[in-house]
Amino acid sequence: MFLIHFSGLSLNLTSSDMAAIEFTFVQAAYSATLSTVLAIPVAKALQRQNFWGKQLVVLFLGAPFILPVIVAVLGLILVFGNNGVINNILNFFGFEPFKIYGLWGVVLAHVFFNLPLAIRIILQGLNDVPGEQYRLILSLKLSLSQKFFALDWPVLKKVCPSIWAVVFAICLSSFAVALTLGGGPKATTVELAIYQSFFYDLDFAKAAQLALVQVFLVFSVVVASQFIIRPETVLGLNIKIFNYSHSRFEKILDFLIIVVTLLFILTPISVIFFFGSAGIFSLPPSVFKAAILSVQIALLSSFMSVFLGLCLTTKIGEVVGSLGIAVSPIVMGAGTFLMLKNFGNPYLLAIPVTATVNALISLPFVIRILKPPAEEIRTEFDNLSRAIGLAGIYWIWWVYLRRLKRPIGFSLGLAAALSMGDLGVIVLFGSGEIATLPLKIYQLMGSYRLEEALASALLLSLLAFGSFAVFDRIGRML
Amino acid sequence: MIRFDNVIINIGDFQLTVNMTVQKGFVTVIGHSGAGKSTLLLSLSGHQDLASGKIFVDQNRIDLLPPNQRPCSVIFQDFNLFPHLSIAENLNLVCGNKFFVSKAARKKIQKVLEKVGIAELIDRLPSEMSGGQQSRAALARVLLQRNPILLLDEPFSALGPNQKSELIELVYSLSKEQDITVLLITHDPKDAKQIPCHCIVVKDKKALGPFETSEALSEDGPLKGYL
Repeated sequence: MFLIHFSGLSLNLTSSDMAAIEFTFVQAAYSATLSTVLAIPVAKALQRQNFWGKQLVVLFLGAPFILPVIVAVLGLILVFGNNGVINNILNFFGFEPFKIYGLWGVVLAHVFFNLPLAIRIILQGLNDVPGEQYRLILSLKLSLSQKFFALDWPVLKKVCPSIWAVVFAICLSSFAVALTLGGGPKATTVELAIYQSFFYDLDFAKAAQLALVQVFLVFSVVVASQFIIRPETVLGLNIKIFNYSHSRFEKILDFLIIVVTLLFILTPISVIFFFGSAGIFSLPPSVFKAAILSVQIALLSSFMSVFLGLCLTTKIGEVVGSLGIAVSPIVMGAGTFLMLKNFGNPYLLAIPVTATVNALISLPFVIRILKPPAEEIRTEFDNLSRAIGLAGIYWIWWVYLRRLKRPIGFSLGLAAALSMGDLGVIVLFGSGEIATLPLKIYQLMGSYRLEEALASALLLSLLAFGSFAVFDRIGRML
Repeated sequence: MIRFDNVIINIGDFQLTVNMTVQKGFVTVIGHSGAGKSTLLLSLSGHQDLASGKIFVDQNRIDLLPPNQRPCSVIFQDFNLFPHLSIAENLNLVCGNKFFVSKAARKKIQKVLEKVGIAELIDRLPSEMSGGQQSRAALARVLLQRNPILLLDEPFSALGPNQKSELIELVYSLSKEQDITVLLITHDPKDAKQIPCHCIVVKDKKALGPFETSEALSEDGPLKGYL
């Protein structure tokens, strides 16, 4: 038993709680390190090679961001699980099988989600180096290592610590991956421990204590990361692709790297489409009921998130909106549950609570999308608006909303897709009656109804990508 | 009549002092880049705060009023029209700020666009028009605002010499017709020579004048060294 006293507050942490804290840090450190290191050669390959479909490859790198976690996990189980392709190959050559459940499964899933993000950020950094600098260095006929230290090292030195910190923070509060691939005394994260105290032990005091620990952990990392994150590196969209001449060896190596990365990212998604399509029309009504609920929650949550985002497009607003990163869905859900428990039946409020928490979770991303164009509007049109007395509701109608319709569409799509795939707060509030599609898939997986789980996963992917595409399209069309 | 009463404007280390009375009519404002020409106009329009002093228009003090309550319309160097709105929608913003362009407002807009010679472009977006046509649309909006003072902060500087000259002529004739006082910032002394007007010279951190144009442009005039 570990007792921690701080300003009159005392925490009683058991050895299993301490093990959960340790596992949380270890898996996050492995995930962040692997995502960052593996992203370097891929970003470099993408930067120096020019080929047909390169933009599409960069676009595919964005797919895991909106892919529901439960779908990706199912796909990874099919590829890397006991009977998956990879283990069959390993078996054939007499190697030890890869264990998808436990530390390495959790790390694998985290790398699957964060490697594309890391690649895009490094690629952005490499592309920001002026073309003239490349031409100069290449004209000097330097060796590979000299070129690396002259051109790439300064960029990597700048962006890699930031990427590591961002991925580490994301993995600290990742719940759905730990829920599906972790568990047991050796692979429980703090988030999972909160859920277990809540759901299985009904020990709300313990859950509250662990929630406090989790908030402290993530908050410390977020604060610490501020010292190493440079603002210009936290980008990843609208990439300008630059390429230059290269040797045959580099060309072959780069293509191999790109193909392997694409296989790693696209295979788990493809297998869901391949195996799920057969059963999609024979799914039980309960799955469609769950799908409808997911759509309703996603709509409510995306509009809430974008409304809040539009109100918070200032520097202070961004800080306020980003608090959602420090407080994970499980912590928010647990807190809300405990609060509501004193006033009535919290399960009755499952839908609004889930929608609100989902809205707050996507809020930092929404603000990041809306803030730059909103600031641009204020800078460019302030004089004109003041000169003609355009203010208040009329300014919002004629200028703010109309100028922002594209980023609003994009944000709505992103928030809807993120909410659609969320398997966080709903596991606390959901029940047999109230289940979103991700929860339903989790329940199907738990009862070994794999065919139905796969078909439902396909349905969920279509809904997530579909909602993103529809909102984005509307924003472009209006 | 516009009166600058011991006006001092500070922007960082830069300071501009203005103490003058400008009579009704067409006035050009000439000076080097960075001399403070735009600062002078923006202080009048309310986009630049004063460090001290007062500004009067016809005995009414205006320097404490917000820009939209001052009797001035401004055409800036750029961003004079909202690029995502049609010309009708842009001009509608000064016709009552409704959520849509009413029939009555459209009629009014059509009429004023006829005056500036671009009535057929009422439904175009600014990006579908030339620079000269955009300037005419901005001018049409100013006419709809019906303010007695028009401030032009080099709005025609990106146009060719012929188009620029045409637009200055148009502004001059409209100012006569509607009895508007115009303050036009320009780098080019030819603009001042083109029409009968007075001239304010901004130099050495001071706004001087107004002078007769011939006096300002003479060899020993205040623009000595600039010409």
